[in-house]
Amino acid sequence: MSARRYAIFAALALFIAFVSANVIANSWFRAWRLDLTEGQLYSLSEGTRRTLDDLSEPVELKLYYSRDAAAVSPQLQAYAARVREMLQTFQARSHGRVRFVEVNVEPFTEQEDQAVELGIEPYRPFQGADPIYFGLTGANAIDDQRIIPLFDPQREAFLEYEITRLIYELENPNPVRVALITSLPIDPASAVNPMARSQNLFATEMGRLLDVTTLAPDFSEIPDVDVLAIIHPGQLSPQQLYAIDQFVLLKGRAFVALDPAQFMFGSETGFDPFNPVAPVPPASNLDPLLAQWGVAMAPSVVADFERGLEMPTPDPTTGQVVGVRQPLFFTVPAEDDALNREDLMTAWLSRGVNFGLAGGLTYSERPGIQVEPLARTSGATMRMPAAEALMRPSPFDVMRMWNQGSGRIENIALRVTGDFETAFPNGAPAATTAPLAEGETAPPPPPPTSAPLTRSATPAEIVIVADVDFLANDFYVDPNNQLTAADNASFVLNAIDVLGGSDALVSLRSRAASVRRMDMVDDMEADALRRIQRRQEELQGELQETEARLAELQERGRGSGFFAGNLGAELTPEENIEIERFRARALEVRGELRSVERDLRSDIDRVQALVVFINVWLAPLLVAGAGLFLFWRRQRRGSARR
Amino acid sequence: MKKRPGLASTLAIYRRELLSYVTTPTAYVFVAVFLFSIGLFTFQVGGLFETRRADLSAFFAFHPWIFMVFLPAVSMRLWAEESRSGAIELLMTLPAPTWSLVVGKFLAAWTVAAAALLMTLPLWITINILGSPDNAAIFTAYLASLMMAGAYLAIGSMMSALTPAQIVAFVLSVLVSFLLTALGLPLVLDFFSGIVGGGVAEVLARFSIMHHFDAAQRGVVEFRSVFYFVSLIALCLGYTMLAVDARRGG
Repeated sequence: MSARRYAIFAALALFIAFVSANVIANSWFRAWRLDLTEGQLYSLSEGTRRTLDDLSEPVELKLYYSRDAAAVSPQLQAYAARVREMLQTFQARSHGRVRFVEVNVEPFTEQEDQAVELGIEPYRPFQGADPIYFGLTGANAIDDQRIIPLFDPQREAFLEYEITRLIYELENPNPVRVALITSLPIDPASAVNPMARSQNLFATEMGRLLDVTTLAPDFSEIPDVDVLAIIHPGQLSPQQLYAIDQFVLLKGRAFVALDPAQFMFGSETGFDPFNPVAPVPPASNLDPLLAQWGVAMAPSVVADFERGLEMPTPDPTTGQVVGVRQPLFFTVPAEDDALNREDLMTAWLSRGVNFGLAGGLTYSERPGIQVEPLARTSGATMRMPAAEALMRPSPFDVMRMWNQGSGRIENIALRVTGDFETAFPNGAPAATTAPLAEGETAPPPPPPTSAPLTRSATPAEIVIVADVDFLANDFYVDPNNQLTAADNASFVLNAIDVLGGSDALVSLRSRAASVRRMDMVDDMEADALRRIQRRQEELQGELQETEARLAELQERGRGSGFFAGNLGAELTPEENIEIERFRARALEVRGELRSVERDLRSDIDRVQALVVFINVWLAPLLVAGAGLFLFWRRQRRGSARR
Repeated sequence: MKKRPGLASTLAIYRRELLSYVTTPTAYVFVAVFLFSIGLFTFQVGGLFETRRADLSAFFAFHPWIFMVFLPAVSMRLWAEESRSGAIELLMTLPAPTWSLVVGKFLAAWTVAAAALLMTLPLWITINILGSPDNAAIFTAYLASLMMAGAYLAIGSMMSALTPAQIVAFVLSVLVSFLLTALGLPLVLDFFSGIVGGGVAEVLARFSIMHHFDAAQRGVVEFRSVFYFVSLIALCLGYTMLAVDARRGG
């Protein structure tokens, strides 16, 4: 073989080896990866692995995907690759119990009819485009089916949870069973009774999505359910508290909403804030259980000055109705990590949650118990006695009470996880019975169903929210079109739903890479904002004072009679000088206000300039300098040799 | 004459090449231009400061595109310069196997690229001062970037060996690098989807440098991506060897 022919042959062989080795590596070594991210963001979590291990029967996952139609959307294509790989990883990790197949859905084919029939939603990236099908069905051996109608790239963080959830539901097809303890007119049963439709959207949704048993006010035991929901429970007897304690130790799953100042359900409970003799609704608490879980709720309410909800309020000076932020009604936005972005209960809420006259939760560190805030206020807060807040002070009144710089971040909702000890170490409290009539014998005590638990039999997962008013429609539902403006109901339903899942499912977290902020710059900005606000307020005050004094002098100068219209005519020379001084000062203050606003960014701009200088200019200049020096030295040596 | 063992001659060639980089101002100019452009892209186009995010995604996102131009400029002289200056004749008579020449020269160029990457470390330090980034993910991205640089340099080495003119080597390297990088771009994939269908286009995308750099940028080391970069380097160096051998033979 000639050298030339050998070279061509070798080049061809190398190329074929390269292509085929990579094609093989791509399919064989798909699962060989090392996730070095903090928190292992791109690996199957322990919860998913447990769910797959616990599968009792085979599951078939069918991905319906329009490959050709999706070519116009690179974002969707990239996401499809991620979904496919995750499903393949599920299959590989399932000990043969999960089978994954992909169906390429083309327009006007049998596959398209099948996808539509199963409920896969078509997506059109633009008008007139071919529909893209990108959903998943899961079926078990008895042909029970679950679907994910459309994989949305926006929800990538929840991809693993959604697939695991689908598999879990095939294994456990019944809806989550909930026992509800409440003193409020929340009636989930109305959801299934069209004649008695509840006006409360949350109650309706609860009844529609969950299997709810509302306990009677005199309940003495809690039925065997998945989750216990306690929403403003009213006064509970020691026996009832004991029943809750034992449920939490045995089953470990509870959603608790308490309130130091419940007022939205007031009209139904007889409370009228404008009637001084109307009974004030009692605060709800769950002592001694809360104390045992390491959590405390103060009897005061929290006002958030930064995130107050705007409400129409008459201005005390002009009488005009203007939109003013009411710090007692505030929102916890989805941004800025105010809602926990890693917990599945809150991570996908995008519109924030609105609260009103909410309490603040505090917790103490205890061995074996972890507490994670789910919803937090801004740092600009104040606490106000509940009774005072219930009298509905105007936003102006609340603003006046605020001492700037004194606030702190308050927890409105917490998730408590861990092993608890009973709040009743001496066993069940003695029942209080009515005195017996003469000749009557006491009924025998009910036989104990099981030995009382003193420690958690199942690790507990409890969600505690320091507000119940947020469940009233007025807080998040537009009365005109019944559309929701905030994620209040979604938050609770999602929390109960997550709590009702298996241990494995509950342990799953949102897999979004939590956005890491430039804390130093954020702190600088917050600091600058605070400084500027203070200075602005001072200057505004001064400006108002100056302008008022000016107006007063001008009014006096305007006069009447012969000199009417001549501003300076009726004023003394001193007063005229004062007018000029005030005018000059007003101009000065306005200028200063503008410069204060400009100053907002000056510190940050300086840091940015330094960072850009070091990283864009310094290194290249040093390297280029070294190169030039070298060049110069070589030139010099060269000329010296000559 | 006793033939020098391959590894020792690789080391000797590596030293000689590296010295030629260090002592000529051209390499400094290239590195300075690289550092300046990567900084400019990171801050001006990527808006690293404006996003207020303590990560380096705005920095790594531009690596494939800047490497695509910068590294062929480093590698174009590897063999073409030897041909121009006539040093190739001397090199060809050295009692060293071809592979040791090819690998030695490639490693020297790779060292220059590594040094350029190393000089961006102040950015890593800066981001740690401004916030708390995921340093393990950043480290992974740096390693992937180094692997990717190796792939571009190997392409450059191949082109430099195939043509005696530096500028032709540069243009060809940029062209091939661009094709391999852009293979993962929607525009290119759309084009292929239209001709050969979505399935084949997806397979083609797996041969894109960008595709393999993506996961590593997030902090995930995929075996198949490491394999891709190593095999691409091996393929291109293999072609370089064939080209050099052809000259030696001729």
